[in-house]
Amino acid sequence: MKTVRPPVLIVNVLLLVLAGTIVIASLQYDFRQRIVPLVIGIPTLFMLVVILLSEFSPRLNRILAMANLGSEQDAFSGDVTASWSRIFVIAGWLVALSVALFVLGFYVVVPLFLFAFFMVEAKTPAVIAVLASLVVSVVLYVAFPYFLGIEIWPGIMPKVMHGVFGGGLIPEL
Amino acid sequence: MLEAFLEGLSQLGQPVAIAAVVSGTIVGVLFGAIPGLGSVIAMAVLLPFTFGWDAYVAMFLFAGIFGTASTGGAIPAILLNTPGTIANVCTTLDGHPMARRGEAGRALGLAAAASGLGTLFSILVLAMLLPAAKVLILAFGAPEFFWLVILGLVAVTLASRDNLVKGLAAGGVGILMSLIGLSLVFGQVRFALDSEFLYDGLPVVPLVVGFFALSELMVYTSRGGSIATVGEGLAKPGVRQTVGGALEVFQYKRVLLRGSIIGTVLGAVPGVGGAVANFLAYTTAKQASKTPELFGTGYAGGIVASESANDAKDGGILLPTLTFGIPGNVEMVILMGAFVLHGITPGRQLLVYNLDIVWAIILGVIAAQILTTIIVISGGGFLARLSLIPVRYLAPVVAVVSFLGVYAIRSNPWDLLLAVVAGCIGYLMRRAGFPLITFVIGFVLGNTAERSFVQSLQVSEGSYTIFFSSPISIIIIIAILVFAGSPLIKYWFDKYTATRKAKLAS
Repeated sequence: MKTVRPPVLIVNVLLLVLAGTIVIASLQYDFRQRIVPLVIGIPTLFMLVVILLSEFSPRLNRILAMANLGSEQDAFSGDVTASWSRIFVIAGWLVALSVALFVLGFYVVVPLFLFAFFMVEAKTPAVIAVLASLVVSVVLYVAFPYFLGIEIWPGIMPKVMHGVFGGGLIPEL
Repeated sequence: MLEAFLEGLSQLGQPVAIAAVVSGTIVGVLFGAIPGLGSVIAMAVLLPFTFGWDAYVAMFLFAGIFGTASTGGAIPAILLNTPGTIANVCTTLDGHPMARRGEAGRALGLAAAASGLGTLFSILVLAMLLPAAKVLILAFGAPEFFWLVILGLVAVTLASRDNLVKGLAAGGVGILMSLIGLSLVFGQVRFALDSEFLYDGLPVVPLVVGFFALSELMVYTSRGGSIATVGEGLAKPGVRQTVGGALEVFQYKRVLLRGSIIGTVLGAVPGVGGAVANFLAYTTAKQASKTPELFGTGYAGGIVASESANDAKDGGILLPTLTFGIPGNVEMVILMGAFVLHGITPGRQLLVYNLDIVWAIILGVIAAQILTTIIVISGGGFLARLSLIPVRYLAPVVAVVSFLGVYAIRSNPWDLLLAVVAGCIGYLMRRAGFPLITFVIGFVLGNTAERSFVQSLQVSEGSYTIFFSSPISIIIIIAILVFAGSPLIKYWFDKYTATRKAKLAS
């Protein structure tokens, strides 16, 4: 009995939904505009369905394995088999960072994030964590607006300090 | 041609261009010297910051990064027995034993000189082929370009470590995703779900940063510890010994030339890359040697073969990217992203209308390589110690800089969320065995494929025979079939060999 691998299922379903949506939506356009989505989309959907079925059928999986050359490990072939709990923790940090940046802006979130990460994940003493987060934040805040001329996002909260905290206009989604 | 060369040279002479080359070189060597980071992450993180820069300056920065990372990767390979990039694996075989004998400086010198000379060789070949490529590319019409895109996708899929079907499926989804938004071919918005965000299509920078920087960050941070693990103490290379090693490379002229040729040729094949060149050059040098037993014991020829090949691939890999707009690896995908960001159309138009940019990149790679040789010879020991920094200190800083870069490009905070979603999907795709590179190459080349396809049909007034009518198209189609059929051919060959062996045994 073959063991079904959840990542393969999740990615497969996700890619199937993306490709399927484009293929179905392309039917509303005229011939010239839908030809490439259909020419590319239909074989892609077929391959994704075969990969999905191969997760449940060892025989189909063996046939697919014929296509596995494994000629060169790509640059990103590092250890991707870490425990899911660790992956969820790290992904959680990144998701929390992006949401916090969206809501509160870079000026407030960057020092807080760095401090929290250094304390919780790096287990750094509090004083060093404070100093490290302040140093990195100051470098970023000097480098970006002054040297690179990049306006930093202040977050979507009501305006508290102009250009620093709150008052950012959310672009239409 | 000469005018473009002189323009590129004069641009390189500008103070800001010199600063860009120096910065790119330092970043490239640093990221190359830290195993696992590599030039891809450096380029992905820095790509957004170049928005608004002069195109030449941005190209000099990227030339500095991608041209030097594999040289930087030789440092931990020699001193820590941990290759900085996958293309430095064979360098560990002789470099580390040499370092353990107390000749770390000699090994670093050999690696730096072989890398520098390998790059110069391949860049010279590229420069010589450019006039011919310019003539050849004019013979390519829309149908040929369509097939070329498909060939690039198939070649890269085969070269990635996962299976052909998953690679092609990921590439197909990448092409479909690239069709979202305003189509320049039809002047109409498609598949955008009436979203303002999707009007111009999915933004490439958050996708690249998410896929390559954030997903990689998840891998390394979840693993913990430092990037490199050192079993035996760090050897301290001396400058005199390093210079001696650099000069010693000329005693291995034949090995150097063979490695450079292998690297250049294999680099020009999309998807093959430095790792294959590295292994092939090393094994060829060993087979051709009168003293093959010395390989793997700290033999200078082994280092020269490995390092000359993995750096010579830089010139080769630029050939399909600059001439046909077909990126051969992830670095080239990001470089093409930089072209688009600076209003330069990759492929034929680049060679015809922006030849000065092509020369700027070539000259930038040469300047960066010379600088790298100096950096490695003078500061290799220090750079190797960077690999010992725990990832828990690096990760939050890389994450913050990545998000700043993503935001900087369009000042759109939704891009932050898109990048993190791309990072999570990228990680899942890697874990599920779907090669990210084929998805991104499909995404980058999708519009070119559609434009070529539609233009072909317009020229032929709707007849599909145009795709099979020219000799160039036929040659490319045969190449696609050979590439795509190679797994089956390999399977049948293995089966035949096994059956034959079994018969002989019985």
